[in-house]
Amino acid sequence: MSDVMHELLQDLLKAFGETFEMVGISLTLSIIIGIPLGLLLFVTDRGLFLQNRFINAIGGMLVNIIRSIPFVILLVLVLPFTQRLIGSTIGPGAASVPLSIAAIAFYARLVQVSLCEVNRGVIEAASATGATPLQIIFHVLLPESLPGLLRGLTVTAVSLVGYSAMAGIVGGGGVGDLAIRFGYYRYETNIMIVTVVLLIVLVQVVQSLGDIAAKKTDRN
Amino acid sequence: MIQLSDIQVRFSGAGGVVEAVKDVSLSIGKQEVFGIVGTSGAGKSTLLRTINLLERPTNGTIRIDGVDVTGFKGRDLRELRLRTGMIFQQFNLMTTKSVFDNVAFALKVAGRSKKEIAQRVPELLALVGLTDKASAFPAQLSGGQKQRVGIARALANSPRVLLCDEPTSALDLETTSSILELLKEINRTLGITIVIITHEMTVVKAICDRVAVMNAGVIVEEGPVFELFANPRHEFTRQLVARTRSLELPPRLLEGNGGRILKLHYRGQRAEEPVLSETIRRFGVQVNILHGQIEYIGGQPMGSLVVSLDGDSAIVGQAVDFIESRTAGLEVVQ
Repeated sequence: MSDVMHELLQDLLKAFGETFEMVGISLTLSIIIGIPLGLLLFVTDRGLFLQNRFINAIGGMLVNIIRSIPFVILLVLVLPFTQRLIGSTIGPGAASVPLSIAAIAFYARLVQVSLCEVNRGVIEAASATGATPLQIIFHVLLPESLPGLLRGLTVTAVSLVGYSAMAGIVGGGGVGDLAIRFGYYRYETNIMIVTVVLLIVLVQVVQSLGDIAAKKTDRN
Repeated sequence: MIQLSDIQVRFSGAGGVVEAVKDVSLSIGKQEVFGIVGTSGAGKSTLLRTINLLERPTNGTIRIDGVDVTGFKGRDLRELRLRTGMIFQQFNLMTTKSVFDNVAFALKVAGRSKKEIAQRVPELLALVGLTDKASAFPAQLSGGQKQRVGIARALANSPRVLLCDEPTSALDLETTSSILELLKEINRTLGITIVIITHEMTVVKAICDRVAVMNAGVIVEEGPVFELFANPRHEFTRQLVARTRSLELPPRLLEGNGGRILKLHYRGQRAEEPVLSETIRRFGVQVNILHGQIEYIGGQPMGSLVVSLDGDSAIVGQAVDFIESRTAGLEVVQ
């Protein structure tokens, strides 16, 4: 019995490690690329200080295309690209490629929505003081939308935990993959229940941390 | 100092082309407090925004100190805005920044050093009376305090002009007058030209030197504030002025009164002459004041009184003629 427990624990630890790796990489990339993309969508919109219909339309379309592809299909669709980028299509690193693509598009929209909630008057006041577009972005838009950006990041992280389970299909590993392999294919319901409970705990922790961070930065 | 010539602003939206401002020309003098008054949707806010090019006019030119700024872009535009402060109806403060940082932002934009900022912000907060609120966040402030932060921010880079977009419309009466006093003081002590738009005639009376009345995108009348209130020429101005001064009598007074009821208008120097007491002395009629209002606009009195005259009808007639010759206007109500 203890051997089985030991083995399970090993598997679980490995699976959690893989999940963290996939979610970590994708979340980092959605911050690095998703925020600028969301900013671009926002500031090029009608009536804003860098209004540019062409860039806005192209960016918006790109995000929509990615978001309209079901994740399972995206996984398969980007396999050739993953192969060229990583040199392999198996493992958490490879699974991070489609995960990142989906997360960037998802988070970019959430960033845009948070920015839309920044009072237009505040942006106008900044323009009226003579601020440059970059000054407005870094001193007004980002700080003012920070609570919303953090809430969006939390939603993205939780979604990523879910998506990363599907990554098991292409050999990505992770907790979700473990649950499917043991619980579904091997009928080991106990293990499935354990992993599901752990996933619930993980999501709760991520959500709570996000809520605390958002609340701390919100001055309203 | 500010010259707007033939300013026209058109918006093309879903509902077709809207002409918000139609061929407006205005000249605003140095250190003047200039009011633009009108109902909402008159285009006054759009007009104000052309002065710092937040709104680009479709046509016309804007000159500031003789320099044509209409086409300013990039660096020139930012420099123009640094020297043109602006405050807003909804204050437009950054909610995630403290009072200090909200004011500091304007200085940061101007490229001032940390040391300069640390020195200048307390000066500005002292000027608007918010020294003790430096570390507070906007959500913890009252409306009047928020507007004071807005004023401190607008004055940070020592502007020549302060543009005020309905600065008191979100404030209660008492706070309104304290903010107006502060603006007046800034105008006097710092010599900053103020352009203020408002729909409240009380604001105009309180601080403006000259005023333009705007309706449907057009300036219908312009002149010194006292002139505008004393002799409104355009029908729209008359309506605006009349709204601030209602001398309605309760019907009970009209029914129960046997004598003549007159409405007298006072205006300027002659309002200070003791017309009524002289009427009483000369004609021996009884004078009863039923209603009245006298106010001082730009130091000059103007107002109206509703009085009843009682006595022998022939003598009352002579008294009415006498009063008419000594006041700015007289209406026989009954």
